Amino acid sequence: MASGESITLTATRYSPEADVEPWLQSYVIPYREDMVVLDALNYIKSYVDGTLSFRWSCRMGICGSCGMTVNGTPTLTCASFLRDFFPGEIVVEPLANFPLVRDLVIDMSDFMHKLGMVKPWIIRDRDKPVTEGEYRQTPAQLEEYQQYSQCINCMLCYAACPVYAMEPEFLGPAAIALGRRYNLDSRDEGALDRLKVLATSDGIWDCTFVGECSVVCPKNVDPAKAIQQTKVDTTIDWYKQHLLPWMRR
Amino acid sequence: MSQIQANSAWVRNIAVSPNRYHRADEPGLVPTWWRANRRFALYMLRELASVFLAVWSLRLLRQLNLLRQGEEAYDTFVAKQRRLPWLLFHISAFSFALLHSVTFLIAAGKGPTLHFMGRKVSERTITAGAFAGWAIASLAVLLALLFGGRGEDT
Repeated sequence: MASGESITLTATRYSPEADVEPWLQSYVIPYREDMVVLDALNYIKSYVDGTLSFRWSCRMGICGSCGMTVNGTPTLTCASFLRDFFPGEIVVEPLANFPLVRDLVIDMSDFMHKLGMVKPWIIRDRDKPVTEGEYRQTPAQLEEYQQYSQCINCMLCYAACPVYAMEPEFLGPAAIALGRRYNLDSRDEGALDRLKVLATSDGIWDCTFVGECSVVCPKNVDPAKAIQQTKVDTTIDWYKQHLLPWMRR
Repeated sequence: MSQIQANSAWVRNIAVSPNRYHRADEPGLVPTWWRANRRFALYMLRELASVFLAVWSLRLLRQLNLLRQGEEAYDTFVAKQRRLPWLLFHISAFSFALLHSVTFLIAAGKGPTLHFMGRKVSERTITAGAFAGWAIASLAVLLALLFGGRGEDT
């Protein structure tokens, strides 16, 4: 561990009561190679400037709360080490493409609304009685959707997506990935319901496959894959419906 | 999609209310957004390929149309294609077609969900299969071009 060394962290500041535009404030803080950016922000909050606002919770890449833009890249600040930037400066900004509430805190209402639209829960036409036992799955059935179930709703993919930046109507990578997660779940019967939201011009067909959502995803969910797979599936389904109706499942 | 549209209008309302929230701009990107990283730049190059391929396709339609106007008109057109500006265009179009093909095939593994012998085929295997198919098809075309018309020439 290095001692006596320092690092400069510059953070976006914005107070809706006082500022018309966001501005940057730099802090020089002690450097330790085992510190992550979130530790540095908490150090500033505790010992330097108690007015700095940011969102965080678990500190272990599970809650998805501490997503911010670090040196231009959307990332979880709890998983981003100072040593990867030292001795250079670190610039921490709020996630792009979202309204700014204060300092590093963004308004996630749009994402939460879109997440609800894809109904990210198991839908059943008829729930079977408890006496009939649990809904069982084979390992192969679990594997079908497991990758997409790793999403922690951190919204890094939305901050990285130029399509979402251009078109706020876009349903977005995480919501589509989670919609697909439930569509692939053998216990679920809500796929047709979700496709009314997913297979639209504001859904999967708005995606131009930049692919940056999958690059920044901290959990390797690969939302770009979920979107492309849904495109392929819905296209095949359309052809079956219109050209080969007898083959439609 | 009325729910999405309603919600986006709500976001825009936030954008014009800086007393409560700040949104840097109206929805959109700065013109230099694609220079933020190499992947964005590659994406833009991939999209730019469509311009070259569209011009090349129009040129091909013109060439086909000239077939109706006789040998002289066709030969004049072909002769023009040997000039430096056209050669540079053809090299550029070919390079962009190659770039588009490679980036498309790299991405191909993300599309289909395939199963073989009861097991899911990996993304890497699908991509490798796509490249193998491309190589075989290219080789077949090359052989056809090299040897396909030999009998007629002799």
